[in-house]
Amino acid sequence: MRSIIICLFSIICIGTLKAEDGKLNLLWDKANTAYINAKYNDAITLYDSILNEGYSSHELYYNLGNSYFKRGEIGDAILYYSKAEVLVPTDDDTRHNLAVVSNYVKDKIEPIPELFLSKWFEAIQVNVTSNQWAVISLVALVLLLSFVLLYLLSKNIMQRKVGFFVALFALIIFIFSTSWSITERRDILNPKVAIIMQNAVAIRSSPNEASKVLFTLNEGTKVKIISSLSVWREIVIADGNKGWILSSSIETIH
Amino acid sequence: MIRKLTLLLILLTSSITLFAQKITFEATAPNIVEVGEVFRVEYTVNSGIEIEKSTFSRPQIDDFDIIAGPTESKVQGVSIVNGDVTKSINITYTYVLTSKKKGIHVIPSTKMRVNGVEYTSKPLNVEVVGDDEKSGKTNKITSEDIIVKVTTNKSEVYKGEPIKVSIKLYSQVILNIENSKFPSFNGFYVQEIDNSNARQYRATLNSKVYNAITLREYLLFPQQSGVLEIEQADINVIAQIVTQSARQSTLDNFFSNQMDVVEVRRKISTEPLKITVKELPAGAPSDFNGAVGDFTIRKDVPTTEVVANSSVMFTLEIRGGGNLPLLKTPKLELPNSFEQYSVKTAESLKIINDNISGYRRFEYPIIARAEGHYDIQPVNFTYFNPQSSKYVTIMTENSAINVLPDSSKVASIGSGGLVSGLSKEEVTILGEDIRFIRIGENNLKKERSIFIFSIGYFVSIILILGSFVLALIYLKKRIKLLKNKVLVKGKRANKVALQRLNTANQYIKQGDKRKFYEEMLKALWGYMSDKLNIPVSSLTKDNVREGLVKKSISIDDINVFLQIISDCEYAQYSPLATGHMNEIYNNAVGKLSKFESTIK
Repeated sequence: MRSIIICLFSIICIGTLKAEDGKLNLLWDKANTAYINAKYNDAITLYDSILNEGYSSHELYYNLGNSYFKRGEIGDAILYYSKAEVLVPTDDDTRHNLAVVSNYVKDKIEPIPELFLSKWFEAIQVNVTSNQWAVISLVALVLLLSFVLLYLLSKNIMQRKVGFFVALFALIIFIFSTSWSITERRDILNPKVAIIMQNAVAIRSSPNEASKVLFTLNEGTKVKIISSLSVWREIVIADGNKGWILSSSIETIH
Repeated sequence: MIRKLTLLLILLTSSITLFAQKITFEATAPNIVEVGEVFRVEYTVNSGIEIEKSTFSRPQIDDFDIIAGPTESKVQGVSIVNGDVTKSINITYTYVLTSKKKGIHVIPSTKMRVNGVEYTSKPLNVEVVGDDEKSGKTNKITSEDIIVKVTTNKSEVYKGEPIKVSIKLYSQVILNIENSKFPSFNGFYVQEIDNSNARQYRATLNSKVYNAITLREYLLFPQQSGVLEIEQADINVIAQIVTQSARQSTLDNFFSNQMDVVEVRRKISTEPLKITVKELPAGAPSDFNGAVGDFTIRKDVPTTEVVANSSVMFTLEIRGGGNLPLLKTPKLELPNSFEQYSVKTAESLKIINDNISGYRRFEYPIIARAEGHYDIQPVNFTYFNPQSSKYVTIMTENSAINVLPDSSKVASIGSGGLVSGLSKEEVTILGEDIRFIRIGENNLKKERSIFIFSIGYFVSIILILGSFVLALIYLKKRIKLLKNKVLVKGKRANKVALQRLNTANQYIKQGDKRKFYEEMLKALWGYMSDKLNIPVSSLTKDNVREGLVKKSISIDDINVFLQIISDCEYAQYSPLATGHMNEIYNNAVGKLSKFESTIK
């Protein structure tokens, strides 16, 4: 009797899961059709309904970015492309579209020149997701420990040398991949990068409506959040300028 | 005779040329003048040659009043008569004089230096005659006949509060105004009021009727506090006095109206005027900008809806009486997306019955850049009201503006064309469109778990570390075990060998030859087997030799050792070799102890 109930229950569970899947796929296809028919408003509504179900994917963000751009909303387009880029950093189409849309951003900010080394590191870092880094770190750990074993137990000098250097190399990889994975995890849990969503947003000198306006930013500009105070966020832009902005004017990536 | 004639001719011609080069300096003046008459005295230098340098020393004229002069005038003339070129140069210094005293007065001589030579003019006698009737008329012009008055509408004002100053001329005679000196109004901002169409009117002053005219009118805005002085004004007038003609001719009487006009010059000065300027009271609001008076403010926005990137004109008008020309532009607070351009101002001032009123208009050109609904902050304007001695803040009413999207921009984004608001210099990918959406696999996932620091991550780390430790322990044990076997054997070798050798030694004492050699062989082979870790079954001499070579034992020792074994093997079954037992024993013990110390 009990086993029958369990059986039935599991069948229902699988059934609902299947139904959920089918519903999502239906929404997805409908949204894509709307986009193809240039009904961008409908497409956005449909994509959003998938998001509201709690589902997301690189493809979903990418399509949303496209829809918003076609509707002329640069800020949202950049936001969703950036979200897509976080999930799959290596996707060529996302990069291309982001570059095209970035041309419509009004603010042209001259970034501070970076040290080439930090540029490389950043390039390596952002192209791999946190989870990938975590896996890499585990592989490096296995490698490290097995070569430590070789170093410790071998009597042969050559083998011991190989063991030592490979272990050292694996240790470096382990340290870097772990730290990058942690950094990206922190970025996900506590988003640092945000996009300005309105035009002519005032950046003020202190978290106070009455304080002096330092500069204004326009829709689509990427900013980095460095601290926050109630509804205010302290941001820094690519050229190093800092200021306070209302959190309602920005939207965080991740 | 002929000689005389020629001499005469020469003399004559030379005298002519001499005459032509002569320089004269003369003074001319009328011999007789009347009292009060204006006349000229002229000093003239006449020269036939070029005057390179001339200095005129002024005469000391005491008995006459100098009205003007000396004025210098120069006349040059060239005349050609029958081929003779004659030059004449005239320099005249003119004085305009007048006298009030009767009698004969002397205009003293003066000196003139021309081209280094000094010339002196003759002193001139001028007789001043008094026409009794005329002078009586002249004297009739008293200070009460012509009066100039400076009037102000206030004598005590606040700093910045306007004062109207009028300079009026009252007269009972017909007069013309010559040059006049008006006050310069130090410490005031001055605005002159246009009174070009001021007309004469009749006015009573000190119970006399005068013809009055307003000469000048000013608006003064005091810029300093304290007692400020309006300097005196000097007005020069020529009064025309009409008299009966002195010439009594019947004909004249008949035809003319027998009137004679005498001009009399007078300089009339006004009294300096003091104005007390009070400092504005303390406690001015922070946005007070120096406005004094009584004002109203009005804002005018032509439309409440504009399209982004198009311009609007906001107008602010301050109306009322006060220091309108000195008003500073009020600050117009606008949302950030509005661009403000330089403000144009216009003003108009009117004075009606001593009240100054007018307006000052500020026009703010504005361009709205971003669409949206914006509230426009009211403009505050603070002024000081001198009547109530209070600061008053007035403000415009609230207003809102709706900025509509720039239709051209949206359309062009949709079609991928150029954007009007696009302001970047480098446009690289423009003209390309975004790539198409992803269709097909959607890879939708409910949640994106973060692997690092998750349970799975820690479990894997523990598993990896655990397996490492286990592997380490296991492998270490295995290695230790292997090592121990060899070590134990090696350690045991000496012991076993010693025991065997002991037994062998006992057999020597018993004289049991066969058992001695047997024990010796067991000791030697067993030692080698344990020490070199070679099983007994595979022990050969070659093996042993090889093993010992690896343990770096010298070839000689190896050979001796193997010889001992060979001897033992031989002696075991041979009855002859009895006497060597002790020797073999000692040799074997020596070698073994040597090996023991070498092989570890």
